[in-house]
Amino acid sequence: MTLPLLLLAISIITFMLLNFAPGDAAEITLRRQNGGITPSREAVAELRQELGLNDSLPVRYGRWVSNAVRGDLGESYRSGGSIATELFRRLPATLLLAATALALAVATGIPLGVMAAVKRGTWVDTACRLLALVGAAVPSYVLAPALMLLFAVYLDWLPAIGYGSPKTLILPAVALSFGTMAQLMRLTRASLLEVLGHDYMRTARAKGLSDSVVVWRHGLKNALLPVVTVLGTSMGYLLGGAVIIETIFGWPGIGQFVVTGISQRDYPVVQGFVLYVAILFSLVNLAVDFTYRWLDPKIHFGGTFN
Amino acid sequence: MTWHTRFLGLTFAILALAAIACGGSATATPVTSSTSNAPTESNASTDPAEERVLKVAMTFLDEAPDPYQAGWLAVPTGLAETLFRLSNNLNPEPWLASGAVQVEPTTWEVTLREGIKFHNGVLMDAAKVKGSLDLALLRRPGTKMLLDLDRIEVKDPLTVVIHTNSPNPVLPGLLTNQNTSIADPDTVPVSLDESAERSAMTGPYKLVSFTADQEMKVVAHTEYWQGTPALDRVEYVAFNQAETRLIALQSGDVDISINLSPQGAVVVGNDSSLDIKTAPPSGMLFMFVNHESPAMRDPLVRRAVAIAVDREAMSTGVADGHAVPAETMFPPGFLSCQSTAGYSYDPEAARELLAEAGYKDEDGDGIVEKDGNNLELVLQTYPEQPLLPPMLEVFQSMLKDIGVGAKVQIVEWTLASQGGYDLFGYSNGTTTTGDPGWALNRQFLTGGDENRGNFSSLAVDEIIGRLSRASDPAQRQQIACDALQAGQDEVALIPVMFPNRLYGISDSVEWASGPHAAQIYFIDYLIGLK
Repeated sequence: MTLPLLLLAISIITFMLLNFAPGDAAEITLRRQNGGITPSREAVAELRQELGLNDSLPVRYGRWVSNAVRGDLGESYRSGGSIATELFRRLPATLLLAATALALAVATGIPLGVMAAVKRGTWVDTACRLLALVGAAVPSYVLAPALMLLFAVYLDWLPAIGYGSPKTLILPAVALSFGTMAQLMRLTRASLLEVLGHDYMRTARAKGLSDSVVVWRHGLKNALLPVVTVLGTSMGYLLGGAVIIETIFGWPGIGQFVVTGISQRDYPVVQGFVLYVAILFSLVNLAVDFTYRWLDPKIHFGGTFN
Repeated sequence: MTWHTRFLGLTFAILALAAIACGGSATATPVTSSTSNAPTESNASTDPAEERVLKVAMTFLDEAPDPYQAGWLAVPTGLAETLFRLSNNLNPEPWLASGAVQVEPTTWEVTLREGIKFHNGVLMDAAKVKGSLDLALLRRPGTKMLLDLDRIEVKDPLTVVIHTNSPNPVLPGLLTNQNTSIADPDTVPVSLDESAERSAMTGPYKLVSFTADQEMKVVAHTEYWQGTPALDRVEYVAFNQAETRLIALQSGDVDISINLSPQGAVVVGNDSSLDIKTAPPSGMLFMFVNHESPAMRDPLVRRAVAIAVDREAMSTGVADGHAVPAETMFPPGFLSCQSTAGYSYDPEAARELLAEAGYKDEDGDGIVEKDGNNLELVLQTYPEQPLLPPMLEVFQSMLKDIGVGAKVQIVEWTLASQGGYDLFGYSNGTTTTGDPGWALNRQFLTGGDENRGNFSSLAVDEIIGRLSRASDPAQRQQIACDALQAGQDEVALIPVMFPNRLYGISDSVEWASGPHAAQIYFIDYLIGLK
């Protein structure tokens, strides 16, 4: 029940914000179609009527929602093409980038967080914390050009641009994953440090278990549940962040489509994108909720905690 | 299964998914919004090692290279050509046509070149050209409005007769418009909903594939009428970030990056393996004057503001020297008279004009006032042209220097038509057709298409009316000069600078001619690799 309500609220807010923003979609569309020639005022008025832009806000919103629930997100003012088709065509590239970035963040952030906690107070801990600080402070749109310059221009190890081979995926995925990696590292370290101080960890050591078994089997077990929670929100962050990274790297996903849509005041494209991100974000969080149960059988939904 | 085994399983599943998807992407084929004319690739050299392939970073590849809908892409990439083109002096000259004669005020006879073949090998003749122009008018309302044609007839296999609705002495100039590109009409889809991107055009390169926002590939048209193209293939990729285009050039992923920023040009200039090619300016950065705002209704204030612009400082400071000061709406050399018509920077004279208009700084706050109200101007512009916001910020300080307050607002470009400002920073081409009447009609005429500040002057309208009736080139130049001067005298708008277009190229590129003065021409059959 929460999911439809959430989507409804998001769609209303998006619709309102875009419609109260200044600018005339009809004029932009016509000028573009005319190759930069300014259209006559009559032509603009005619197109506004044709696109239904003169209808009241509730009527326009109702029309859009009723089509959206049937999977029809409308047509782009700019190209005239189906938005749902275009989003679907570009979705694999965006998902590939976001999933790779998430995998990278998990594969590096959690082990580094464990190392930092275990080696607390040593240079390893300091280095990991510094990395986490940099990851939290440097936005992806600054990191991306820096990575391109270092690895593509100066070292010449990787291509700066391109799409279609694993090599071209590395730089955008690293740029996108860096912030999430830092967040996972910080969280894992803090969570594990708390767990390592508990009595049962001392008991485990007293039983003669090795440090690695104590940490990886007993410590991490209890430290990772908050990390899994953050993974859900991270996926949403990565999908949103992919818009910026795709624009910088020329990655042919949804990002470029949306950025052009925003600059051209292509309302249906932006609305469709926001709805898509909202649905994905909600579904990922739903999946994370189910993952709790899978990871820790003690957790039950809507019931008692055993 | 223990919990951590499950967790590790989840992590590896994510990695495996990424790896599978990654492997899949290498062979992924674009679906919709992309086209592929794979068979034409066979025209290229069969040995990839010997292929001469040029890679170009473009700003946009958002619309397929349709000769009628997106001629802005089809012409610069060497796919399409028009009957006439602009010379480097921005004057119309024959291209697919060999000449044109105005036999009557409303009738032009256009002679075509012999032996031109479309990409499908079919010969171009008058019937094909008529069919193509008819489709251009049908498919695009803007083209119909631009040409204002009555009908097109075929006189003989190499002559078309074009009848205009009213006397039109500048039709060849209008036929340089990219959306009048010539394509074999028999290859153009019947439905207006379908793009004509696959139609057979006449340029030195023909389309292989197009994927929106991603890439476009073209191969040499070996039967090209001017000679064999110097390259086997050209591959275009799209990056709307100027920084990405720069890095792609530095890393060697592309050979040419178009529209570099002035700062990017400095970086390229410091790299010995790269070079900068500068195109003569054709677009203008300027400010619309809102002729309905209380402050700007006063011609003395308008004049004061116009001469408060230090255009040299703008060109060197804002554009890092990659711009030419604009004292009128036309770039240097376009009209013979413009040196006498410009606004010269003179802050002292500006202060005197403001005083003459009744503005004085009586409260000593540095801002002049009249009837107790400070002279505070609203300056608006839009961010898509990256030089405009800094241009207005610098102008804000120049206004302060003559005692005028100002605030800068970054808004949508369409707001230029909706008032709410005193000055609006804007960018426009003024030499598009090679004829001064084009820009004068749009920007100075009452109700003109690009007269967004609602300038209106009976005197200027009368002169532009005379210009539209004149056919003698020398007479047209003189009348255009008169119209320009009259508009300048009334400060219809405030020109600021003509930014150069900057192309970054690697030292492997052979581009003897360099960029054309008109942005619409880029890849030709001569550009190659060393």
